[in-house]
Amino acid sequence: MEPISQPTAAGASSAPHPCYSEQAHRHFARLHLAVAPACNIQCHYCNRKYDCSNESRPGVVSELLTPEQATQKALAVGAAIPHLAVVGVAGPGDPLANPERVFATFRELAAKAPDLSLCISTNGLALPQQVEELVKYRIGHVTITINCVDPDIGARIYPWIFWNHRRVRGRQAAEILIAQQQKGLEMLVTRGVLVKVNSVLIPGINDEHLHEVHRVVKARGAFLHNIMPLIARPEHGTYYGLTGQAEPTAEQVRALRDACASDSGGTGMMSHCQQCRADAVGIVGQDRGAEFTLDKVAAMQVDWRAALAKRATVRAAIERRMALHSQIAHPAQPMPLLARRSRPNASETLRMAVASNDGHNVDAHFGSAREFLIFDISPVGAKLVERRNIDRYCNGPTTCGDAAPALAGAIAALSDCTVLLCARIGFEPWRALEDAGISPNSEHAREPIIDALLTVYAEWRDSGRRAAEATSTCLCA
Amino acid sequence: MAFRIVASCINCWACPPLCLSGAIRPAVPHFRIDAARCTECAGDYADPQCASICPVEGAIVDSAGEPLNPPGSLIDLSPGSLMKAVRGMENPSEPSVLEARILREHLVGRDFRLACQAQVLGDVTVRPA
Ligand code: SF4
Ligand code: SF4
Ligand code: FES
Repeated sequence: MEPISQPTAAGASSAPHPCYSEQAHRHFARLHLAVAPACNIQCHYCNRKYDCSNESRPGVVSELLTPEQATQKALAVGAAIPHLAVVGVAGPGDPLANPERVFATFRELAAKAPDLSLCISTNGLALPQQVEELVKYRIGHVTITINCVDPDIGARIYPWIFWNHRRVRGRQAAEILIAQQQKGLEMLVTRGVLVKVNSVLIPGINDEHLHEVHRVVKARGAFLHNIMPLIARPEHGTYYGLTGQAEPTAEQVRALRDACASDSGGTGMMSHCQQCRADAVGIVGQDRGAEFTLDKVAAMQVDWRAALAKRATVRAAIERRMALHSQIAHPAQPMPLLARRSRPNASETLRMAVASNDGHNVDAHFGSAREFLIFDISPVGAKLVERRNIDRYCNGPTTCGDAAPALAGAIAALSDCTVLLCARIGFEPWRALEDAGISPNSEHAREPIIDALLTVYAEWRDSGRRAAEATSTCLCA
Repeated sequence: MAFRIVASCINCWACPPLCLSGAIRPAVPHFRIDAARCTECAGDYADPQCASICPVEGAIVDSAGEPLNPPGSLIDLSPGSLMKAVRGMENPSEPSVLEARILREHLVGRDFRLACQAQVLGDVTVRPA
């Protein structure tokens, strides 16, 4: 029986991929299975004694799994961590250089955990001939590592590829690899599969060129482009590591990400990638791999049907929560969820004012803010109450603009708020706000508003200023 | 007429699926070629398949013991550049245990190990962990 054989359009793969959405990143867990040992190319930033650094941290060896062990592990993790949403194969080699092992794993998972979104991360060389097979297994997401679109640059990154039963080297190898990557990208996009492109930033080799890569992959329909810093240390034994190739600074990475984001109108760059390991388990950034080693998994009894049901419940709760979050980010949208839920108890509600210029981040200086976003946060969620312009609280054109009355006006405007979030605030206004019973907070400067709100709310609630009962339905905290 | 896989094999699984004769056995500590089965791919392919994908220089040798992928043929890492890398480390005369281990692993798998060892590993003292 093959319950899932429908080709998947992008819209049909509903499970949010933690690597694709900053929101999903913090709510859903993903599991990478180290089921694909072989590789068909050599990259200068990789030492095959360790895992591929394409999606893995160099210098780390994963426990290689057979397809049976991999399936068992995924089902066990899916039972123990019900917010598991994504199962991917990203190493230790290239998944598509190990098609039998990878597809055997996916076939089993499609039958026993059809709710889990499957994904692979590949160098792209074997992609075009595997696209149909990938689509068959409902693969919703594919990551291709594309470091160049120019074979002369490629020749400095890839010493050889294995192609049509021969080892091909140098420029010719790069030419083939680039053509295959681009063709694979296009084929996936045509079939509605979301494609993320990873690029390794290699200073002096492809740093300038990545602008071009960004343009090309976005034009071909890549959903996201992720620029990752090269990791090159002598102790990893890679070519770059041993030849003293420089790693980029955090500033270089940021500048390039920003430049690419503005090239493409601010869309489709991601900055939250943690370069998770090929055998990573759990929410990105909180690895729980040690709980699921081979022997531990082998000893586990897993009821995959029960696990499937439990995941459905947990996912529904997370999705409700994410819907609330997105109302804060996009307050113009209607709020059906809030309307349907019971009114929060007033004692659990915290009203906060946020000084923001861009409407997304806590990025405004208190003194220069003319407008504040007023939010009510409660266990039911967060709600944008209004955008409050402080000018109408000023005493009139003659006094307004003069520092002290403007401050008094701002304080009057915020008198119903318990907390003020801003990027910076001077000492005088700090004291004045505190005297008025409003706690200023600039600890979350430049963070997304939603994160700051939820963090501060959790602190406020935990510090006991809220009514004692902790039966919060909100999973945010 | 048969090739052999030697100790520097890293058990990467790239070669077994490519061998038409089914001659390559996953094994520990390293994969092995069944000499009775290996045809050196004669008649099937222009190049022996295992040696065309193997990422490790020197891991597969011919019947005379000559590496099919000699040092420097897959990754252009000359002894000179390795030396430079060692010198570039924080304290080259006293590498950390990890550095020393990695270097030794990396250098010893290669045919020019004598040259490197004499110059690099010969006069380093490994700090106790
Ligand atoms: S040379 Fe050919 S036949 Fe012999 S082990 Fe390698 S792939 Fe198999
Ligand atoms: S390709 Fe080379 S390193 Fe990999 S298993 Fe075969 S002989 Fe060993
Ligand atoms: S690819 Fe997994 S965290 Fe970025």
